Amino acid sequence: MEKKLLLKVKNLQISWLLDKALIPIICGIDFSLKAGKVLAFVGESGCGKSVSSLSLLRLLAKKLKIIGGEILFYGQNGEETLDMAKINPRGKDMQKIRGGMVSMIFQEPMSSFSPLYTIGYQIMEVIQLHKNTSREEAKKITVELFKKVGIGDAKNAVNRYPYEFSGGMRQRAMIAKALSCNPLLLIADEPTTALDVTIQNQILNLMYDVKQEFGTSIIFITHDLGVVGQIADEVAIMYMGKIIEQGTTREIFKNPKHPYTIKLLEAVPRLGNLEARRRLETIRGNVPGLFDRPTGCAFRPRCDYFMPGICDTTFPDLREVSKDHKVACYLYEYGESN
Amino acid sequence: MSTLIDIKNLKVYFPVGRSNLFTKSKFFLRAVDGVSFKINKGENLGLVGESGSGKTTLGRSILRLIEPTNGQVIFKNKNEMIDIVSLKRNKLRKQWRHMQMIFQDPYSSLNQRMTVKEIIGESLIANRLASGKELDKQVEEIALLCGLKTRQLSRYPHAFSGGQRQRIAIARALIMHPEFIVCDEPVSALDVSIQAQILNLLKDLQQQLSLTYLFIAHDLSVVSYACNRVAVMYLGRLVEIANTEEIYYTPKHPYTESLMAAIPPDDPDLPMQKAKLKGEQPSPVNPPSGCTFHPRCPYADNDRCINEVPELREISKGHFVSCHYAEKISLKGALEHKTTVDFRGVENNQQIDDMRKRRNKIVTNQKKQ
Repeated sequence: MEKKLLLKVKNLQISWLLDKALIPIICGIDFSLKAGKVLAFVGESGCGKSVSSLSLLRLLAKKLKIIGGEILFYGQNGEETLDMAKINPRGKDMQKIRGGMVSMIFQEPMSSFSPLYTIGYQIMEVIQLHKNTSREEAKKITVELFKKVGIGDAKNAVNRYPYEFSGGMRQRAMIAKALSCNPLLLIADEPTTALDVTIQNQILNLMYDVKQEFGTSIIFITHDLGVVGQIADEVAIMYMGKIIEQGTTREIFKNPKHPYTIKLLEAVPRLGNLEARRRLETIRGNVPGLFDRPTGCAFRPRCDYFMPGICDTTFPDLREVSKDHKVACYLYEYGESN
Repeated sequence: MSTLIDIKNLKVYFPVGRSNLFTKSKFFLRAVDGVSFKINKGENLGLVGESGSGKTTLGRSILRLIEPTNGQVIFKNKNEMIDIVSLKRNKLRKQWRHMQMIFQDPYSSLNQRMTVKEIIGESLIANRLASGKELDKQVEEIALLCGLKTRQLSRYPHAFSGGQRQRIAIARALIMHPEFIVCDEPVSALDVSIQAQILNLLKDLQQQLSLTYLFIAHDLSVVSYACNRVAVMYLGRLVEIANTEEIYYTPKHPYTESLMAAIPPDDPDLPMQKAKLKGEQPSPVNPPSGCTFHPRCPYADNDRCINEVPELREISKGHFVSCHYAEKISLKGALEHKTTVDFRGVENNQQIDDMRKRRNKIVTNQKKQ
């Protein structure tokens, strides 16, 4: 059975409002997500992956404005569509979605809970707000959730404060909070970056189980390509506010096309080929600043295949090179026709 | 290979709980609990473990940035043997010229109010080794070596990105021409592409300046690339130390195996790696009896592992393990856990050829027009 479409983002553009100028942060991205699928956004810091995910919940800071595009959310039965880019971020509709239908896991498990309230209280608050339940019932649900995400001694754990939890436990509680209202979509913004390898492994397993058990769609944001191989169905590589390559996880890992993706895969130190112990491939230079965005393809100053007169004109379109695999690079745009 | 640093039974305890003038605290957090190992000249020794295992404390106490409670750190310097733990403060300052540190977070380890030149040159000034033009010259030399440009030296740290800041921190450590550098998670705050640049830089510098590193990291794949010997730490103790190949292909301690298993495989066709290590590290204030790893160990028995503390013993040449059953259990190494896609292999070369051809074709076509 063809899965239903859950979210469709069309030509989303976000800019940073300065006194007189608009600095583009996200320059038109398109993607869609089907129910029960996992989409991973990968990119270096400053490429706009966090901003685009925050915009889905309309949690952007005041200076960041959505200046164009649509975020269509299809809701439970795929009928009610809602353009989240247009509605009031403080309005009732948005509040219903935020936490209720779409929820978020943040990177820092240390700072995403208030230290003044018990963890249980902070989760019950969400449940009471969205589900109209009594305190006792909310508490029951919370204990159940704690058991599901693997927090030992769940009954007493709800009465503990965040400082009594370790990093991994806090991230589990964060996932419990995000799952509390059975959301349709879960946005995970670097959920494992602050954690140890062993704990990261546990959390990835937990997220995988969540996806299997509840059928929740997940948008997974990370800078580490190695993490998403098992969990994601689709990967989108971002660079300076643009999606430059998008495809199924298998295609991206085994048959990367864009020079940036190839370099990104090569830069990761790997187990397995110890004998070689070669130098790691690096990408020259740094990500350019927002104020000196290169003309044309944003990657061209760091690219080995730079073609003068072509790459520095306009940004290449995201074109399909094979089924379920799109690349934005002039190498593939001209090559096919000759 | 000669030994540069010999660490003997090093202990760092921190008192916890209440203490006052009359009663001393009875509880101690055993951050480092009797660690002995040697660091050879010119090698890059990796130190891995989960957070809270005491690897940073160990690294810092070797330099005496944290005072060790007990033990010896013997630094061999041209037939001279210096015990760093018992050095007087003024002599320690001189000794620090030979041993330096690179910290984890380049965003907080650089003084915001000093220019890059002042940051790098500070220790030369403090030790009255250079001034004026000579100082400028030395700073420029080191900065160039670390991939910084001369015109950047008068800027302040805020103007630099994470990778460049780490280059400044490396230059600062190198200005005294040390023999030994403790690198405390030098790349874990950086992006993947920048991480590769810094790892390559550290490797080049080691060859050029014949440095010795103690490389602290929690990422095993980074360590496998950077180090020739690896020590694994758990709850303040060393559980295994061996050559990189042996640690990765034939680990002998169950903890090393589970650390290896936790790395996500990089081939999307492989199934999700099931979490092998359940639960979390126990508190070092009240560590478990016997082998401290026994509550989480899948191979532990109910007798010896609970009651008897395993010694770190040599089971084959240069391979030390602290496990009672190291010879009996067969463990999986990194190779059995995952087949790796080699992106620099044949397939990829073809792809790069293909991309080159495409590029040439497009460029020649463009010229014709």
